[in-house]
Amino acid sequence: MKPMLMGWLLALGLLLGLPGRALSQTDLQLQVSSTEISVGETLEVQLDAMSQDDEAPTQPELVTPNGFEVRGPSIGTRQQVSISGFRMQRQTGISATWQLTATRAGVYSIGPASVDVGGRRQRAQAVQIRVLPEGQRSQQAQRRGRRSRRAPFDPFNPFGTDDPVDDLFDRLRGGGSPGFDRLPEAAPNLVPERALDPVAYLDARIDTQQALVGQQVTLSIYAHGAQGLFQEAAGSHEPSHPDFLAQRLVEDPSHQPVYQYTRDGQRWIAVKVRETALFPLRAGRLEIGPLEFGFLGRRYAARTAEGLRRSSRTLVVDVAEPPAEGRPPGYAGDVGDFRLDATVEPRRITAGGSIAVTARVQGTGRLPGALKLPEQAGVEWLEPTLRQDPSVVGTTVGGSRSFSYVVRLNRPGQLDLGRLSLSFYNPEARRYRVVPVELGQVTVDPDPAAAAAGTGPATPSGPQLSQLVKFRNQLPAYRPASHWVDGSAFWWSLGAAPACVLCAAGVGSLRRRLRRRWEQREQSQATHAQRALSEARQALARGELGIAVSGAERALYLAIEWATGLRARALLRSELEARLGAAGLSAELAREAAELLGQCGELRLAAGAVERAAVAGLHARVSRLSKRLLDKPPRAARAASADEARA
Amino acid sequence: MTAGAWRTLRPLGAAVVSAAALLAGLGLAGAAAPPSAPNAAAPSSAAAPSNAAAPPSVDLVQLEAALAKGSFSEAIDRLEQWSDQGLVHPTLSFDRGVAYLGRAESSARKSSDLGQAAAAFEEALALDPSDEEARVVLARIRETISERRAKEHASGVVARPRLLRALSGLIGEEVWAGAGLLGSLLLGVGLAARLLSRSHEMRLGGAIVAVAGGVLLLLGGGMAGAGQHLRQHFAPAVVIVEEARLLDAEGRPVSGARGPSALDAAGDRVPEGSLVYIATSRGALVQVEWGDAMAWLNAAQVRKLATAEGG
Repeated sequence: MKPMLMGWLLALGLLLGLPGRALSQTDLQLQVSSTEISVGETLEVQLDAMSQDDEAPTQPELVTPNGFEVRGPSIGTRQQVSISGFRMQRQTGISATWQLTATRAGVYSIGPASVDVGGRRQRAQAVQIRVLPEGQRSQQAQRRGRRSRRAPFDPFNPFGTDDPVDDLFDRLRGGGSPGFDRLPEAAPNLVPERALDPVAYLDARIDTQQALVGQQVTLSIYAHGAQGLFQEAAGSHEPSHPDFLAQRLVEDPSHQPVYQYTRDGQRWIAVKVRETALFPLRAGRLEIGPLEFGFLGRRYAARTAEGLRRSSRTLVVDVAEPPAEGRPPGYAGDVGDFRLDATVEPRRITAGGSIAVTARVQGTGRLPGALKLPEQAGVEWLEPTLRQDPSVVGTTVGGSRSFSYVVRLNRPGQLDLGRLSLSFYNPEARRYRVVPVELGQVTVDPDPAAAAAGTGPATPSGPQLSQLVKFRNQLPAYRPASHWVDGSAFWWSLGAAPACVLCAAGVGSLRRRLRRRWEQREQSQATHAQRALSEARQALARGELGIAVSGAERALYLAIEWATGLRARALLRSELEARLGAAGLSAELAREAAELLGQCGELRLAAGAVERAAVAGLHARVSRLSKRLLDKPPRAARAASADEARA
Repeated sequence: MTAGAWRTLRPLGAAVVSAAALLAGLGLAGAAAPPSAPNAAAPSSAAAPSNAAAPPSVDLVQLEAALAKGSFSEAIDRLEQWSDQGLVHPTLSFDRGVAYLGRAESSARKSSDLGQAAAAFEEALALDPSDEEARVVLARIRETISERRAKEHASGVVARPRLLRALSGLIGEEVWAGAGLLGSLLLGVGLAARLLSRSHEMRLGGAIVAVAGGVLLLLGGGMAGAGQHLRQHFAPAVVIVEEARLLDAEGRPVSGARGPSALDAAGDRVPEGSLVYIATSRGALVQVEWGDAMAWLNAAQVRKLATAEGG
């Protein structure tokens, strides 16, 4: 009985103690123990990754900026069972903890943190923290000092006193309406032309629509509320800006001035809740995502912890590269206005020893990450130690950064260290600048111990690759290789030879056929009939009537032979009509042919007494009939067609 | 027109249509890829080809003096600036490789110097394939990188090129083009013998030659076209970081072996100095052909080579 009771109690406990909402496939949460620490203090960063799948998250990774010493992660596994209604959910996961010790002051973005789930990396959002100079105690630490210490992640007190979001109007509490009236009037440029929402809205704005890669773009977001006092609810979603480096200018909105204004008889209040300096990382149309913000207050959404949710609009910045013209060699993309100075000490050392070169860059803009070093043989510049003192004047980011180099000098003699330089683009002057600093000379004395031992500077072991090749100091004329294939002439020429041969063969074949056909035509009865008619016409014109009649008769005989294959001259007149009809001529044509042949015979016999008109009439009738007969295909062709039809 | 006339014209028409189809097909194949077609894969500022005389500011003697002094970065900065300005010359690429190689072996070395040197020598070789010195030093750089990886217990990766590129590169695009022209000539001669000769032996021989020529024409022309396509649509690039992780189109790392040519699990990383071919770019990613597979890389991890075509 006791085990059963324990089971019911456990189930009840899980039912009450765990959230009932359906969890996403992988739930990632990145938390920091504090958002404000001092140099030398340690920050705990914890990533909780819970997965509903069988595959537990593995390989936690955390992206950390320079300026922290990182230890960890220490990884613990977690299992969680939740019962929602009649459904039980089982989650497995890990909890990874890193310890970050700050080494430099500044505002940093910790993360994103990621885990591997089923071969895919899932990321948690980054968190921003502020590191104060050493010895300067953070406000949170001071507050923690006044109150009892809690665990860094207290799930039962998410809105605890360590929460960075305080009531924006703590200072006005207790003042009531008179306090509200004492709020300063909002400047006209803070008030949008129209209210985006009747109750509350966010107004996001950037100081410029066009920028250069590396140039500061300031994003400001104001919260406007028409229902009186409000505070920021927990769980705001920060604007995404993956193509920018970001530095927050407003850390704590509760310290921002609150303004009031009246629109259409309604009292509004406005407060700057975010201000961030953004530095574009690449050219293009870059997007800045919306801020999702919860208005929490008596007249907004007092009963929910999330508050009245509102989002700002997405903004777009057109980013271009600094101009190519005038760009100095070695330009590393720095944009702003900087000064450079440097110190070298000592000025006299022994060969193999080191000197310290400290360079300091001051100015406005994102501080340069590297300087152009004067390299030379025998001088070895080690990686610098960086110290920076960022500052914000108005909304402009700047400050100073010092580079402390240890420079090892191996060759004895009087050595000119050369020139340390920084090149940057000044967007206000619209030109590049190179600021050089002469480092001066250093005396390097020979190392007596090395000289006694007869050893020089250390030489690399084995031949070096760079000794295989020699710098070419002549620039010969160069003509890029051209490719045949790129010209369309190549492709045409590929087909030219076969095409020419095919054309020649076709032309030859046509020529042969035409010649054969011409020869056939020359020998055909039709041709002879036409010629006979022509001769008869010419004889008629000359008045040689007998020749005209003979020509007409010959033409008719040839036409009949063309059309029927019959040699009509060999037939008797009496049987001519019947034989022509049997040979395929129509009765009309056969009768007319027989009649005309008879007339021709009569006129030929009556040679002297023939009238010209009669011969002309005969010639005309013979011409018409011959034409009708010659229009028919030759008898041989008709026979072939008939054979084909039968087949 | 009479039936007799149609019969007469039929063979001529067939010959004309065949010839026109042959010529049009081949001509269209050439016209489909204009010689100066811009490269589709141009993720970064493209260097226009330059065969003009170098600008007066190119003073290589001064850079040689800087290198002799050990000031590698000064020479590199100047050579990179010329490259950014679109000045393409095999000697400048070679000298850039020398400068990067010198810095890689000096105390001022940077992590990507060896990869940059490999990219520069690969570029010099692409611009002037007869440069044996560049070929030798490039091979030595890749050996050095392999040895370094072996010391770091990294697995060796051998990427076999895809079949089309291997065949196209077997004897070079120009040789394939020459083979196509020879095939065309043989086809023409064979057809002439087959169609115009009255000797039976000549007609038979012509048919054989025509078939052989046709095959050679198709093979040579096809491979020349494939080579042209690969050259114009894939831009060569070299990995300049120690290892470039293969990604999917969303930028997530590809886990496991990437394809049949991967020898082991290290197939999801491209070693420094490897030659890849960029097909397209999207945001900060480039799609590359590496071996016989296509994958995505971070664009900042590869250096696109300037070519004679530009881009």
